Amino acid sequence: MDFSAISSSLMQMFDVQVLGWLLLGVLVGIIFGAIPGLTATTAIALFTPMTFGLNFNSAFSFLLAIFCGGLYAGSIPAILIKTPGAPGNAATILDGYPMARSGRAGEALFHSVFSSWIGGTFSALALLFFAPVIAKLALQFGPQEYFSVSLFGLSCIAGLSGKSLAKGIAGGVLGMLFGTVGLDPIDGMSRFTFGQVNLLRGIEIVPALVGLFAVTEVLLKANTIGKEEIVNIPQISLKLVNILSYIRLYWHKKILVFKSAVIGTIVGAIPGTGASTASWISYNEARRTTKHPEEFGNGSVDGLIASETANNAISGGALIPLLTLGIPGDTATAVLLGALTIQGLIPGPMMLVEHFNILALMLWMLMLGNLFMLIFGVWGSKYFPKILSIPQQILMPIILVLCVTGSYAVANSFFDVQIALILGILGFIMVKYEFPLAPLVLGLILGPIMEPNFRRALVANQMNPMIFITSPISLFFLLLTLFTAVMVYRRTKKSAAK
Amino acid sequence: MKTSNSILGILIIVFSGIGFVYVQSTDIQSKVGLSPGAFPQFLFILFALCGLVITRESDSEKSSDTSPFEWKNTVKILLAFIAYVFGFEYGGFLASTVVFLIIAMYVFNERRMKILLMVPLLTSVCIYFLFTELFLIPLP
Repeated sequence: MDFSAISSSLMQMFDVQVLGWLLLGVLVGIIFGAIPGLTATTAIALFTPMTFGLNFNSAFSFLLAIFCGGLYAGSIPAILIKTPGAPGNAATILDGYPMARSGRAGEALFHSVFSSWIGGTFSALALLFFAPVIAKLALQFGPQEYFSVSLFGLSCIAGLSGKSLAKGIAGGVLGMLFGTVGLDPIDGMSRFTFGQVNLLRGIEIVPALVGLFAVTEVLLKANTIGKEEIVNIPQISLKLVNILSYIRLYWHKKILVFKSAVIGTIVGAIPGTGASTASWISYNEARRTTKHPEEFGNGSVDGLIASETANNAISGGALIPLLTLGIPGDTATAVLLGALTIQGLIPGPMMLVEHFNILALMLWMLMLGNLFMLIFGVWGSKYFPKILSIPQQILMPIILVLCVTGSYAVANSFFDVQIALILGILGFIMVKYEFPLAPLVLGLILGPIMEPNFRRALVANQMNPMIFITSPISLFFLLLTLFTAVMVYRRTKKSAAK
Repeated sequence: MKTSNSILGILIIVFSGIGFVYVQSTDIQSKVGLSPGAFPQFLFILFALCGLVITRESDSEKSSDTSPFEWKNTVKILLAFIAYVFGFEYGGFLASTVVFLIIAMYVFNERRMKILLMVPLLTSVCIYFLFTELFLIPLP
């Protein structure tokens, strides 16, 4: 642990420009997170290309602050209008909305932001402590280990598949097929380029994600034109004396808070999972172990704390596999992978060994980002209904403009804009026919990691596939993959029987 | 949705078949290990299997979407967006963005003339300034 790097990184954060980007990022993240359908991932995808001209400190302060603010802010519509801002806030509805209905909206909003702050801060510290350990282990990784880890990440597609496992797997396979477009990584032959020079570099991840998330969402929102519902948003009251009593409550619930933060961090660190998985596991665990399970679903503060702490705790956790292995923990960190590339950095164990200060900087960015999120969340709670009232007829077209300019900005390429358009249409069709999008994103990221490592492992071992089993780390991840597959199969059979 | 799943599944199988044959016909043997076409061929086989399962899912699949979908508005927005993407390349950022925003806001049911004119103009100028001066990213 390099303490001098940690302290010098903190000094670097006290720069007016960096703090400005951090504040702006939290604000942008809260606005995007609070509007149902727009998520932290969408915001990061839209704004990543704009960080091209910024230095690393400003760029990542902005993006990580969007991440923190966006993860939390989805709880605002969940509590006020029973609609989660993002899938990770769905569990918050169960207790947050009843609290709002019974005149405790201010209390619910406070617990949501305070729990989010604790979860986010805890996971930032976990990132600092565990990432170097995993990076050292990852230095021993060969191609067979990378193949097995990415296969394990792909096995988690099942958890993202929703109702139809076949549709989830199909989405993942389609993503992997997109990942094969361009030059073959071993032989350098072109695949699926159809004579197009622009396709030789493959499908750029940032325009792809802009299309899949932002363009798709706007096309879906076109369905609601003329059908906008008038929603009643409850009154919000939050007094200082009440805030102090709410904070004292957290000491009494320290075990619940700690457990939820740990669950969120660990789930976030597993490639292919995300906030939704973390918050539901944490909520169910809290309900299982509470002395008053009957209160859950009727305005229980414990339920709200459990879901929101875990939800934000994925922020640091998801950065662990990204920074140590170059494998994103969730879709938002998949976009951050693109942001790191824009900054000229290749994530992996060598990056942390040679640039420990980057890890230290990210720690402070997450800590300060979460702190600003807490301040905005508490101070701004009475203004949140205004975010929910932003006219969609103005916002949606502006988002499409940002999609075009953002996709263009990645490489000053009109082709990337066309990619965003095509994938936006594809994403729209997929959602209409109930194909989940997250597996496609996962396939697009993990496919190009899995294939070359599989081929390299075979070539290095005279085409002997036993190398995947004789390597202990590889065998461990293959067994985990098998375990996940069995669990998913049993769960699918159970739902089919119901 | 029941019929849709059957059609979707068949389309996926057909697409996989075409893809598999295409890869086979263009694949070149690698000097080392597996050929460049090996992984895509495996994926097309897997995709076809998924298509087969999706076709069978049509019997038990229940539709969760009961409200009618407003295709007219989606098509209008999509056509405007496609025109914008190409207008952006050939007409430059400012002109194409102002025109697109007016059309898109109108499709999204904005009817106030002042808003229809002021918001596109202001937004286009602000985004142009943001990108070119603050983010130092040139726009066409």
